[in-house]
Amino acid sequence: MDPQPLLTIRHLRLVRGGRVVLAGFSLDLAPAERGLVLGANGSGKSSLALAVAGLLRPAGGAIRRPDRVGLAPQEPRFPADLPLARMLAELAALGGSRPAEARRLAGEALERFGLEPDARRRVGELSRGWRQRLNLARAWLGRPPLVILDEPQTALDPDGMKLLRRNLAEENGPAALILAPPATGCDGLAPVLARIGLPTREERTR
Amino acid sequence: MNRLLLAGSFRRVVGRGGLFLGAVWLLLAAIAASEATLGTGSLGDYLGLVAVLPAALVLRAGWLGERRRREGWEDEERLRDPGGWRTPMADLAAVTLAGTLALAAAGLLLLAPALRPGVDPGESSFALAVGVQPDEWRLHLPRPCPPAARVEFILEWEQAPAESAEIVSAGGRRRPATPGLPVVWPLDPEEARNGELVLLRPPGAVLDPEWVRLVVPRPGADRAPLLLAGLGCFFLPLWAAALFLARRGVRGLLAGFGALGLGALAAWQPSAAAPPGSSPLALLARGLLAAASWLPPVEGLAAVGPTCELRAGTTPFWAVSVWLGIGALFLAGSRRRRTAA
Repeated sequence: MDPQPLLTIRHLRLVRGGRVVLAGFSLDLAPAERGLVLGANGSGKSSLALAVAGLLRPAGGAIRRPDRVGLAPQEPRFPADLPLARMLAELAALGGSRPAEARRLAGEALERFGLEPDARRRVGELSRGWRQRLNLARAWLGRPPLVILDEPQTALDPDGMKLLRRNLAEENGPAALILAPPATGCDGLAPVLARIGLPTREERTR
Repeated sequence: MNRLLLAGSFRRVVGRGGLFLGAVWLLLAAIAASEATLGTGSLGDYLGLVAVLPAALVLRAGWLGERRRREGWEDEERLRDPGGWRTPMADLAAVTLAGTLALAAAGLLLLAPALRPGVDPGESSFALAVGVQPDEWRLHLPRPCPPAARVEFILEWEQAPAESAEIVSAGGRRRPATPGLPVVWPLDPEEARNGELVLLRPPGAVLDPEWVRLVVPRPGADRAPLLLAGLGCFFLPLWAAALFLARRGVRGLLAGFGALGLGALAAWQPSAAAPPGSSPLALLARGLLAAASWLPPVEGLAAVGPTCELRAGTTPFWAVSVWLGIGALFLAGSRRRRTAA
């Protein structure tokens, strides 16, 4: 294992809407390592995912992460009227890929989650489960060194879970930080790195 | 600029049927401006109708910013684009491309004989405010004064009419004046710059302000490319402003109207001083005047409608530069970047 962690979180404190949602959280993740953070509803998993991705400013502590991060949020939002392949190709272009390369990356991401037959369908036509596959494909788009998966099992059927497991087991694949509640099918996806619960009264007011 | 991003932004900006609707509007504008019974048939009238398209694009830019937010695109921007420039640049480029297409098509219509709007290169005349003193008349000119403008007025005499006389300005320029016949006074650069023409009153002469006019040549079709480019320069920062506001969380339509409000302030030529008093209306008027005074004088870029002749070609280069610089600031402020860890 690489001695230098890919992701380092130290004493992280997150506040949303004036309420402390996470306090004193620390974690290391090595390159290509997969780790699971278990937590009950409202324990701050989604906030942690956003903070690690750089979409939520921490109130305290430090995060060191790679430049490129893929995120599969718990409640994904998409442009409903775009075909899947075009949407992913535009996102790859947003990451700096030239058009031909962006299309290739989009095709590869769709293939990972069994979406290539639907490449020309519009996102709005997809069911919840297929949109979750697209959510995961978007996180893997461009093969970032780290993917953050917030409750990735949501709405996935057994085939979808199998694809998720296969991608997580890929050799030299990205490191993955998975955040999920206990006993929801994610327990076996990766070793449990941490468990987070609701902050104590003392932590809320600290 | 990535072609895929630009194409994606352009599709969103123009939308389904947007090109068709734009083309129909231009065609109607050309027909309306060609129809003598509907308008005065000037280039300004035509440009007034054409300007609806870039104004509609301001609203569309606001909508685009809101749509990006709703679709989760802004989060992806922060994840994938460390500098945060790619989306604002692509969106502004797409709106600019759509606007340029509209303005270029408007210019091309002037070349089509069958659809050519009735551009009459005659002259337009505008009333001038006149300050009457016992021994002089002060004619207040618009600021800035359009190039090649002249003042025309008719003098009468209180007593026995003089056959002819001479009228002299405070600057020493002279013109012959015949009672009842118009005096044509071409403005020299200094008078235009001063914004005032002071005429010394010949003994017994009467000047009725009703008979004082500023006469300005109407721009012909050959000036259209310059005026259309001016319109483009005027709207460019407004498109950026709409994107900026929408990407800062303002609802799309409100962002569009906010940007159009900024444009209205910039194009405003207040004709009177701020009203005194502390009524809400007076305070509002003073606030708007103060806000307008902070903006560069770019009303000449939006030279459309019946006052096109008064505004065309009056914007100094520095004002255009500052105005475009404001647009660049809006663009820079539109960036979405990852939070520092």
